[in-house]
Order: sequence, then C-alpha cells, then structure tokens
Amino acid sequence: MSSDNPPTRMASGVDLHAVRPYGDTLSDGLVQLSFSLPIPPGPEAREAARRLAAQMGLNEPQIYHEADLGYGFSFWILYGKCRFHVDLTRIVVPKIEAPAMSLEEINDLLREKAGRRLRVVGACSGTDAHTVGIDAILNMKGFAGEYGLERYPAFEVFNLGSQVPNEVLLAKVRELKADAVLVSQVVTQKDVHLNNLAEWVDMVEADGLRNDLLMVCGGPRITHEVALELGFDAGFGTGTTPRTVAAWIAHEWVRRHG
Amino acid sequence: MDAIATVLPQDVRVVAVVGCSKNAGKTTTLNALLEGLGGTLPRPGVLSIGIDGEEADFWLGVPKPRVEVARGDWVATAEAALAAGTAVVEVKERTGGRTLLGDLVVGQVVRAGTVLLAGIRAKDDVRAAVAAMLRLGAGRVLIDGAYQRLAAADPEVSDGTIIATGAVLGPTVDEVAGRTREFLQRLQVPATTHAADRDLMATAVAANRLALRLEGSGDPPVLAESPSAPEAAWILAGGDAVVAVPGAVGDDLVRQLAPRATGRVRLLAQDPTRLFLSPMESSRFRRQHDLRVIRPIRVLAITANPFSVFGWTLPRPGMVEAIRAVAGNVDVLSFDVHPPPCPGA
Amino acid sequence: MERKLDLDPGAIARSRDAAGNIAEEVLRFAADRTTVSIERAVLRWMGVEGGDADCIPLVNRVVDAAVAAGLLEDGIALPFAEAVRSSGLDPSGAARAISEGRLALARPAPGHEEAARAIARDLAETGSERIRRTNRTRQAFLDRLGEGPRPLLYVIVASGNIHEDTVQAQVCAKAGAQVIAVIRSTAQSLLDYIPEGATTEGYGGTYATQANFRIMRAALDEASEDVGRYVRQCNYASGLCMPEMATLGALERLDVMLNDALYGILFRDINMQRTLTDQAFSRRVSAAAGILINTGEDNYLTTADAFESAHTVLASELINEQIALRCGLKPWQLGLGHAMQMNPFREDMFLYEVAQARMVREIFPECPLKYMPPTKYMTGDIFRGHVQDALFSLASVMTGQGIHLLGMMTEAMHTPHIHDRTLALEATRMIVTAARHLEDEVQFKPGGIVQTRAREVLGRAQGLLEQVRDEGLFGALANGRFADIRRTPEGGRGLDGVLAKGPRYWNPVEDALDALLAEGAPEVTE
Repeated sequence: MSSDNPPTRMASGVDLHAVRPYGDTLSDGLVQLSFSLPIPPGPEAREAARRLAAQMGLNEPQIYHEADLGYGFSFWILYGKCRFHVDLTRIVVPKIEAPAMSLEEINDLLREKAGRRLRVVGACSGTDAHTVGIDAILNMKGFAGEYGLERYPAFEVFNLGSQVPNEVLLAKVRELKADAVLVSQVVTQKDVHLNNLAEWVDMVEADGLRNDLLMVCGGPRITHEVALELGFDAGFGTGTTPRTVAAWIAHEWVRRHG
Repeated sequence: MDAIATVLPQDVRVVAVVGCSKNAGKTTTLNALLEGLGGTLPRPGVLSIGIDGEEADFWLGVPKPRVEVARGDWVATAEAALAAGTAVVEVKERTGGRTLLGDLVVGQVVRAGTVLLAGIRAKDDVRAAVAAMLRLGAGRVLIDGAYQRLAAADPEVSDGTIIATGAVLGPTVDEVAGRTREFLQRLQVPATTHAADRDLMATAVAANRLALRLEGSGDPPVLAESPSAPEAAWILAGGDAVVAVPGAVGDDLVRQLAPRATGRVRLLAQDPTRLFLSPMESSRFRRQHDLRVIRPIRVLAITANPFSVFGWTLPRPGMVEAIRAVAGNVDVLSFDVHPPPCPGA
Repeated sequence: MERKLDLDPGAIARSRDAAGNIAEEVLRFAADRTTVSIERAVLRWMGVEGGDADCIPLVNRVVDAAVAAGLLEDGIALPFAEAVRSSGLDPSGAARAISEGRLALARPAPGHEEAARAIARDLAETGSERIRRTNRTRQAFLDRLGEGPRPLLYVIVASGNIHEDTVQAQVCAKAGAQVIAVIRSTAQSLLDYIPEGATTEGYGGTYATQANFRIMRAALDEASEDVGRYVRQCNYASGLCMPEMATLGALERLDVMLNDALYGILFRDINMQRTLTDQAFSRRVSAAAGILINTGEDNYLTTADAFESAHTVLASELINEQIALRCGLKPWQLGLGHAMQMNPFREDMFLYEVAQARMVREIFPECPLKYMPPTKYMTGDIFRGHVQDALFSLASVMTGQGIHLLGMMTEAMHTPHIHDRTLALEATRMIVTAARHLEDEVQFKPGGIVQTRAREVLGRAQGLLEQVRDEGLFGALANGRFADIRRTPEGGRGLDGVLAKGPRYWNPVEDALDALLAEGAPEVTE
C-alpha cells in the first residue's frame, strides 16, 4: 500500500534521483519473486524461469525453490538484483486534498456552509455484489472504530446495496437530487469494474448531472490516481475510514459551493 | 506520418482521440497527430480527460508512450504536473478549472520535450480549456480520451473523432475487428433527417424529460418522466411515435419502451455519447425501431495498433484489412508503433 | 463426543426448542406456497433441458407461459404432462414447442386427465431413477477409493472459464484438496434463470450451468482416479434459482451445495418469502440426493463484529439445523457455517475462536460443520495472511471440524492463483498432520477463558432465539437481528415469483421426493 504522506525521514545516503530496492545494502536492488509456469519442472523449465526473471530486469536471478504443482504446472521462488532505478523527483502523484476533521467539525462546517443535509448515495454498481466496503463507509456502525456516514447529522445517506446497474443508479441520483455518489467496486476479474466505472462517469456526463455531483469511487484496487484516469473526483482504497471520506465530501462541497 | 494530415480536414479544429479499450493506442495516435502537424502553423494544442504522458500505465504499470510536444505547441494541464515532464512550458493563462493534480493552466512550450497531461474531469471544463487555447492562438486542439470513455467525442466538445483500436482488444484479428465494429456502430448512429426532431429534442432538454409525439401529428409534444409513465404510454399506444431523450439512453429505457410501442418508434438521443445500450439490446431495438441522434459524430479515422500491451502481436496487414472491412468509408491507418523494449531480452 | 466445555445441556435444549418452533413456522409458511423456480425445478426433474434461440432456458419459457395462462397456481406438472401427451413429443421437445408457440399449455380435458397424470408420474419417476443411479455411482466411488481423513480440505476455483477451472481443480486435487467448489459469477444469484451451456466468461467466478456441472464432474472423476480418492464437487443451491440448482446438483452428482435462504435474504437482498419457500423444496431435493449442504452463517461476521456477534452465528445455525432436519436432511448432511473472523491482534483471540469452534462442535456433534478462514482482517500482506491462515488451521484441527475451507494468503486481493491454493494446501496438511491427535489430548481449564466464553455465547444465543421465536423469523429479520442488516417481508428481489398454491395444486415430484426419502438416502460418510 502506498502511503499518502511524504516520508518524514530518509535513510542516509539515498540518491533520490536513483532509488532502487533495498535488501541489506543500499542500492543492492534485491527483489523476491514467485510465479508459476504452465510447464513441468526440469532443467529446461529451470532455465526458462531464470531467463524470465532476467527479462524482468533482475540481474543474477537465483532460483531458491521449485515445485511440481502437477498436471503440467511448476512453481518458482527466485531472488535477483533489479537493474532499474526510479527518479523520485520526477514523480507527481495526485492526492486527496482534505484536512483531517472530526465528526463534530464536519457537521459544524456543513451546518454553517450548506445549511442543509447533503444527500449521499452509495452503491456497489454493475455486477458487483460485495457490499463490505460501501457498508463500512456508510452504515451507522462504520469501520475501524469510526462511525459511518449515516451517523453524521450533516449527511442524508441512501445505500442502494449491491449489483445496482449504472442506469438504475443514475435514475436514483436524479430522483434524490444527490450531492455526492459513492460507487464501490471490488470484483476485479477481466477489468470489468474499470469498464463499469468508466461507463458510469460517461453516463453522468451524458445526463448533464456531472457539474453538480461529487463523484467518488472506492475499492481494494482503487487509488486516487485510478479515479483521476477514470474521471472521478476522488478515489479511496483499502483501509479508508469513513471520516476520511466524510471530510473529503465536506471539504470539496464547500470548495465548490461555499 | 503524412497520412495523418489527410484525415484532418481544414474545418476540423478540435479533434478527440478515443479508444475502443484502454491501451488501444490513444497516446501513440496523439503523438502521430502532433508529429504530422509538425510543420503547420499555427501550432496545435493538447489536453487530456484522463491522465496522459505518465511514465507507467496507471493500472498495468507497464511503460507508456510519453506525450512529445514541440516548441510552440500549446498544452492544458495542471501546473503541478509541469514538473513531471522534460518540456519547458510558459504558463499563459489560469482558466479557473481544476484537475486532480491541481489548478488548470494553459501554456505554450518553449523547449520541446515530454509533458504530463493531467485530466480535466468535467465536459464544461474541457470546453473552457479548448476555447482558451484557440483564443490564445492554437491552430487545432487535440483531446486525448481516457480509458474507453467517450465524453471527448461529444460533438459539442470536438468537431471530429479519431478512434484508436488494436490488438489489445483480443488475441485474434476477427475479435479485434468485431469489437471495433461494435464500437463504431455506437459512435456512428446516424443523424435524424426530420427537421422537427430538433425542436422535439429542444423541448426535452429544456424540460429535462422525455418528449414524445406521434409521427406526423401537429399536436404539441407530451413530456414524461419515463416510457412507463401514463403520458408516454398513451402516445406509444397511438401508433408510430418519436421519442426524444435528453440524457443517457440505457438498456432499461428501451426495455420499457419497446413493449409499449404499438407502431414504429424513432428514438432520439442528443448525440452518440449519450448511448449506453448493450450490443444485444441495441440490435434487438433496431430490428423493429429506429435509433437516431441530433448531432452525429464525425469519425475521421481509425488507427490500428498491432501490438497488445498484454504481450501478443497481430499481423499488421491482416488486422488493417479486417478493420477496413468493418470500417465502411472511414480511413484506417496503422502507425509504426513498437512494443515497449524488453530489458535484458 | 467428549464434553470439554461444561456447556449447560438445559440451555442447549431450550435453544434448540426455540429454533424448532421458528423452523416450524417457516415451513408452515412455505408449505402453502410455490414459486416459479420450484415449478421450473419440477420441469428439470421431469427431463426438460436446453434453451431457445435467445438462450433462454426452456423451463423458463414454459413456466412463463403457464403464468400468462393463469395455470401455475395449480402446479406446472399437469398442464405440461398434458402437452406431452397431446403432442407425443419428449419433454424437451414439448417444452420447445411451447416456447415457439406451436403448442399451448392447458389443463387436460376430464377424459384425458388420468392419462396426463400418469405421464407426469412417469416423468417424475424417471428423474427419481436418475438420482438413485447418481447416488449409487457416488457410493461406488467412495467404497472403492474413500475420500481421505477429516477435516475435508475444501478449496475454491473461480477463473470464469470452466475449462480453466477444471485444470486448476485437478492441480488442487493433486495437492490434497477433497472438495472443489466453483464460485459462481458474481451476479448469478440474482438471475431468475440458469444460463445454458458451457461458459468461458464470468465475473468473479464461473456461471453454474448444467453443462459446466458435467464438465467439472468429469474432470474431478478423472482426478479422483489419479489421486486414488474421491474428490467432491461443490456449487451453490442459492439465489433466485435455488430449487433448480439443487435439482441440477442432484441430477449431475454434486456432493456439496451451499444452501441458505438467510444468506440470500441478508447479503443478496432476495425476498424472504421467495427464498424460504424455495429453500424448503431445495433441502428435500438435497436430502434425497445425498448432498451435503453448507450454510452461510460465517458471512454474518463479515459485517458484524465477530466477538460481539458470535451468538448470532450459533442461533442461526440452530435455526438452519431445525429447518434442515424437518426437510429430511440427516445430521451428516449439515455443514453448518462458522468462521474465524476476530481481529488477529486482539489479546487471546485464538482462545475465543477455539471456544467458538469447539462449542459449535459439541452442540452439533453429528454435523460435519463448515469452518471458514479469516477474510475480514486479511490485508494484502500475504506473509501475515499465511500466518493467520495457519492459526485458523490449528484451531480447526484441535476442535474437530469436518469441512475446512482453506484460507488463501491472497484473500482480499484477487481470485487465487494456481500456486496460492497449492501453498495453502501444503501448509494446512502440514498443520493437520502435525496436530492430528491434539483434539484428543487437550482439556480446557474449568472456569477458564475458553469455557467461560463458550458458556456466555450459548447463553446469549438462547436469549436471541427466544426473542426471534416471539418476533417470528420475518419480524426478527426486519429488526436486523442477524448481521446487523434489516430486511422486510415485502422487500428484496423475487417476490413476484411467489404464488399461493391453488386448491387443485398437484406436484408429482413432491410425491417422488417422499418416496426417495422413505427409501432413505444413502449415507456416504466414511
């Protein structure tokens, strides 16, 4: 998991223009790797695994474990020295812009600036049936010791549950005159959730609702950067707590309307 | 690369590049356009609705082609993103719009190099940025799409669209051609030929509801929330009808509409980017009814990329041939893009 | 079963009593009703297979036609048998003719009624005979090969492509898996039809279809011969097509099926009237076919806190047990679900989990139980995850669980990769072997943490069951007693598929089920 916070302390001697993996010596580039091959183990398979690792950019690839999975498959654990480096100073990563606020502060801010409850609609959209994430953010009881958005007087929450088609979600957003929509996508097979999220953004735009709506997506493989690429206003990944989402919605709404 | 100039008629000032899928070759196409416009004045401008010119694909992590700009070119991106490229850009205007990387600026390249185009999210912000670039002196504006989103192809945003397709859509030539055809069919839904349809759509847009009338009737249109509303059902029961939808057209809508229709329906959308019908529902509906748009998309060309980011390569002539067969009279081009270098290979 | 927890037998009896009352109310409700899916299951039992030109199953087309003609409240069997009689076609041929409008559904004229009933009874008997044959085949496999020691190691495959699934299933069998479950495509529980044919595209799983059942069965039979023990096949008799899935499972020799209306109500928002009615029929089918059912209580702990809500799992297990026994299932067929879902950093978490697992074991001494691995606190740190799964395996073997679902270190990340399963199987077999007789050796300290915890959970479960008995199950669900989720009797999907049985309702498959159950389903435990 990447951290949203800049490192507070750097190990001494690190060249930020050429950052490499660290095993036990600065810039040794050591990397561990495991994978299966659809071929049985044996001398040729061993060489194939080694060459693959070399093509992945690992010098001195060392095979430490090979196993026969049966039915023509083999499993490999390797170590090697990564020959690449990255220039940290050229990296620009979009970050969620919202101050940390308490439940009370969020309510106070919206009471003052909005003077009404913001309507928040949430759903697991498309074919996704995994409501754990959206429930953790929205439901009264919340997640990780923080109350969910239902607990905030500043929000009126509509949790539409699982497997909500984009078209149905759109109709609901229109009907409820939503201020913010949270869509959760967990299933990752064959990028189906990405297609679905992209379609959702296009559909909101097609319906003329984009400008008035805060569009949020979340899920284990969602980052703020994925959200950017897909046209959302914010994206939240694993471990996001309800208060982070609540603070972002409040902050962003006030920035736009306040 | 000269081929690219031939697909850009003079009256097309704003060009959208959209992909049949992500990793289909949008950025390669954008670079080819920039290079093809190399000698032309005034210089073109570029912007993105996703994120473009980053080193690695946001999802796959694989290296991506960088966006290469020349001296004099115009860019619209986040101010903070300028640090991530090698080009030097002089900021000319702050539009007030925002991207996820920060405030949006329009600038001109003073030293050639690569740029990171931070996505402009809302269609209205895209239109504002395009207008600013044209006002400041850009000859043309190229809009790079994101993922497989279509918003940039909206005729209110761009004058014409180039479609990027390629081997990433499937491991066989036939699969690529088939999926390209589906995509093209969606984008090329034809314009209505009935003058009165425009007025009906204007009524629908103004009321933000469906507007319906009986074909050939002089009665004022009827407004309805959905095709199953009594007002709508009443019109649909009366014979051939015209239905204007101001927003998104999805499967649910046609599934509600079709069983209530007693005659032939002409279903109107504002433009093809409002259509979200699955291929199945679309063909089922169109077997008995008519689907039309007010503002069609002008498809300028299809670019075909024989390399898939997933590692396979299709024979270029065969793929281009197969896509030409489904492209009608749209030009099909294929650039010399190469697979990303495989270190240590 | 040795009693190590000093549980109060009176509390267990009172809890079971309350659960029994709840079960009876539910089954009385179901007995007066039928559903579109039960009637479609009747057609499948009677031999209707295949789909129309748009791949809509013929059983759906026939039942929809019966609804349109106002015939369904009396059951599909008689009008359908009349269609077979009058047309002279076989069941699938008659169904196709009905779907194409070439043949109409109608009640038989009085002069033909007896002939039609005889045809219906014959077709139902043909289905029964197929199920008897299937049961004998399974028994022959088990007699010849056995299936290895308990707990049965259970893994899932979920590639979306049935042909990839079979490869992965065979690799799992080689690595020691005893039950292979094919996870269904994520939206399938909400489809009111079963897709047709072999499928290669799914989302988060592979569609359950009759053809896919057969393909996996053949692959597992082959693997069973290779590894010298019978490998069980598992799928889902749940969702809107629960009765049809159970019927296909019975016909195609599935050995284990997830089957739990409460799960569908709470986690898939399926209408409770619909799915509780469907469940009663499904469980009778599973009972007759020697299928071991799994229930889904483990899921409660994904939304509710595992420490605070442990008693809701026990309460629901007792309700599920009482419903199941009344549907003809035997205790050996009940894989009641529970799970290790507490925060792994909680002090003495392992003791509380052992208390829960052992308590369930002692309260259901003859049931195999289905023990589910940690998912809620799995993070993407695969190294930590592997250790969490090891703790789970140790708890499982030292409390005598019957079905052990393997935890994957890549849980919460993606559907498992081929080596994830092999690594999990190797680690689990190591632990299970290393601690094989630990269960026999361990006693718990009187009045210690484990005993105290188990007694507390039982006490709270009894309180909850008595409350649910007073509210009725429908009322309890509306009040959010399980998993912190509220559902109303009129809410959720599928209510429009429920019909009150008409005065002339007739279903020969129910009679066939009675006959099979009277013969006694073969007991396939070792």
